Amino acid sequence: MQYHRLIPVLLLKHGLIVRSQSFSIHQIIGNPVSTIDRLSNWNVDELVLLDISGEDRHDMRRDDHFVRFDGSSTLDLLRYVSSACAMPLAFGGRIRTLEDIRARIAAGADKCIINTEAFRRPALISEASSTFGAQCVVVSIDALRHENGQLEVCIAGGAEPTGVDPADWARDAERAGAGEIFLNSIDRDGVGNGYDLDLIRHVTEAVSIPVIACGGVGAYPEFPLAITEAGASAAAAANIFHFHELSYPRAKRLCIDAGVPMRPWDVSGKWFARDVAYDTDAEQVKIDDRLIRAKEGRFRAAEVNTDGPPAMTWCRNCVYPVISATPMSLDEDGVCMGCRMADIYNDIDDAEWKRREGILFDILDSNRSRDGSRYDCIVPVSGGKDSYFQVHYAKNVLGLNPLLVTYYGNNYTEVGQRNLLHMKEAFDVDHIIVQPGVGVLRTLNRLGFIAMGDMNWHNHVGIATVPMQVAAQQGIPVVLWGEHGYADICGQYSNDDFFEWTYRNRREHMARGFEWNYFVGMEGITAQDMINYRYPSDERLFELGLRGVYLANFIHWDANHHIKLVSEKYGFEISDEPFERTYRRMSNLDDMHENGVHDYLKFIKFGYGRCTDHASKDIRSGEMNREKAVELVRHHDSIKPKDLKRWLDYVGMEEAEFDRISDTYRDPRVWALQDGDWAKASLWD
Amino acid sequence: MLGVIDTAAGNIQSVVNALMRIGAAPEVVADAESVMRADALVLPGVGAFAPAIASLRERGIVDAIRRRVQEDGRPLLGICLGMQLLADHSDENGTHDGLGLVSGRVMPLDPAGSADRVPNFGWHDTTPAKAGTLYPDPDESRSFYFAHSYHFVCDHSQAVASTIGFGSGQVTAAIENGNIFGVQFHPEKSQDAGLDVLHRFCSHIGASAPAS
Repeated sequence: MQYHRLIPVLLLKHGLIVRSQSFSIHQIIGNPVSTIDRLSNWNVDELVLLDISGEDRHDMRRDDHFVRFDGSSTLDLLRYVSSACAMPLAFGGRIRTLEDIRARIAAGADKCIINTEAFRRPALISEASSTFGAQCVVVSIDALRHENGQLEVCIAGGAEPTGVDPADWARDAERAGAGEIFLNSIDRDGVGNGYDLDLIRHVTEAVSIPVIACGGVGAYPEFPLAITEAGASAAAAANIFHFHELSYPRAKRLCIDAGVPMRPWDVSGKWFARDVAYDTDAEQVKIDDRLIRAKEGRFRAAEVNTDGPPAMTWCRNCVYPVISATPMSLDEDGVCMGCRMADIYNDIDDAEWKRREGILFDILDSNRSRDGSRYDCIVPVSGGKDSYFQVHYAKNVLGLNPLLVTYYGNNYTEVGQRNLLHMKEAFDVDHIIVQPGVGVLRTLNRLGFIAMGDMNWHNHVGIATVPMQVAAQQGIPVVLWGEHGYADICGQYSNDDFFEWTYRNRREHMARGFEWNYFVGMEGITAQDMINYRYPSDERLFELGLRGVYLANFIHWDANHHIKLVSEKYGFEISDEPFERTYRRMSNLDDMHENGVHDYLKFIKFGYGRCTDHASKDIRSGEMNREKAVELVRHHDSIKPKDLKRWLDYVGMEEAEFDRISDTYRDPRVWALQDGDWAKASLWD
Repeated sequence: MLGVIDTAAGNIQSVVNALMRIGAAPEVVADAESVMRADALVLPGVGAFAPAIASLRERGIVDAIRRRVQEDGRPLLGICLGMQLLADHSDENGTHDGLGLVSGRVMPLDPAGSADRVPNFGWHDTTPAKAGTLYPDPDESRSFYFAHSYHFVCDHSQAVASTIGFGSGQVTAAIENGNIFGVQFHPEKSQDAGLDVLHRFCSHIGASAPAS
């Protein structure tokens, strides 16, 4: 007997994984290697990788991430990702000829998925099948269901209707030698209301080759239906696997519980451990090389752009640049996903918010402590305005007894520190503050700056780890976060996804691919020094069913409204002194460097800073017009902040050395050296 | 030296990556001379039988493999099509001669009497036919990834190391015959279960670091 398969589909656009909706809206999730690494931990049955880029252009350049990729073509990318992939890999996208197939197999694909060209020239299927074997040839069918219920095959990324019924085309493809059908529903793409089971049945009844069903899964219980109700051999989905922690094993368990014979899941791979095995010697060579380049003044941006700075594109609505520290993308109209998602968010009506609040209530209520032996949930707090709001909501709206948990990075402003310590009094709740030793923090500040151009690695990773550790240790199954930074800033997800906290997101976007053990052995750092940065094991997460949920998905999140509430009701203090790099006084009081040196480094790398973030948010919420935003960005973004002096003293570094190392991180897609000064295209040019 | 034979039609990189992950140091060998230098061989393969054997023959690799394996007694592991190439003959798209290292014939999978489909893609639990290098425990039941339309019918049942159920009978999933090994599944794509099998082969030939 053969097992049915559960297949995650990764959509690639210009080298990065995207979330897709209606074949037209594409939000960037992140680097494919981070995701493939993660899927490798769980006994994934098979992986489908679809390159949906219109042209062969791939750009994953990030000098400040551990995963670095400088290739620029589909084949480069496939070679790169397949080296991380220990599961069967089917690859599709722009395959036109036998040579295309041969090259993809040589680069690491086990099967090739052909769509448009197979339809236009079915002989390609027979040629491919007799050359490489039918098991290599998957014909992909994108089907559209019209309002009258009629089904039609569309090709060219869904753009070109053909007038052909998908079952007829599947039959022809089988006759031509296809080994398998990958069936996707255009109208269900990214919608999350379930498979089109009639479509799947229509096709599986027409052919005897296996059919992989895809399109529309919004909840795990929909997976088994494609198999049990509609005869598919495999159930596939793209978006949903990105949204939850341990999504694959959780979905697998559900299918098996529903009686579908599938291979067991695994959360503790023997040959594919979750921790990265860093080659410490090779990493030291990379660091030394950077220090030499800094010393000799060899900066990549200067070497690449001898004719002046490259052109830049900004969102037409807000002030966000397309080359950025976040996974940012623009749509066909030049408007960024941050703005698009904010529009959708702001249009959610009261009835819908009420429904969402009900969902949150159910999650928290079903996970609260019944016998009083533990806290009801954890709220990670920095002591900032969002923290106050989260605790207000958990304690005084929902009536829970939360445990507050803080990672103390030793960079608090005086006001921020008062706010932090005031929480136990303002809310009458218990509060754990984890304070790492300052010697280790100094070293991590310096090493983080040198290795990834971010002295605040320890802070981001500590904040993203300590609350989850406490949850795992104390057996508290829910952690209540506020908003998801990238969903808010760059529309990484849609709020309809009800995305939750994931290790993958933490690894790639907060840790930049640098796990706790990267630093072990450098400048005397020991494994014990890094305990606060070690994430709980997958076994523990799975056993506890630990979930991190974002409040902003369930209630309307409005920072400007929250600040009023928490100041008036709970005595939250805003900064008495303005920040230099932004006009907002209410954000980032927990860390004087977050709006200072850390943010200045973002400007050095990508040519913009916190003021751009804040002004873009305020444009989206209707608080500011674009003209005013441009003026503020022009004033704030380039300022070298005063807290740099504190930081240099703290870690023992000279300003000139700081500047030279920083300059090695200037992104060649942004900066050029012109007459001895760094130059870039600007919003106001 | 552990040589991975370049079949010029398959994806050998994933086999190389898998071997490296278990601590072996494989080298890709693409001509007869390098095949003769290898202490042990892995013959991967994806695709159709005829072009694969033709490509090996053109490069003189067919003879080199026979000499190295039959005369010198060096171990060889065939993977997927690489296992089928070990047979005397194959009936895939006509009749073709194979390497003739394991007596038997490659024939089309027959799904009659079952709901199975051809090609056979996906995961099956294998049932060991005997205890040996690839399956030290004859009761071990683990799943491996298969992608094939043909199967190896061995003349002598002692050569069969494991089987899977397909159609109304059993088909060969692995072969173990003296120094010659073969797996119909893709160990390099079968995660922990597959890497364990590769690790057993490599430990047997002394080419692998101990399991971590």
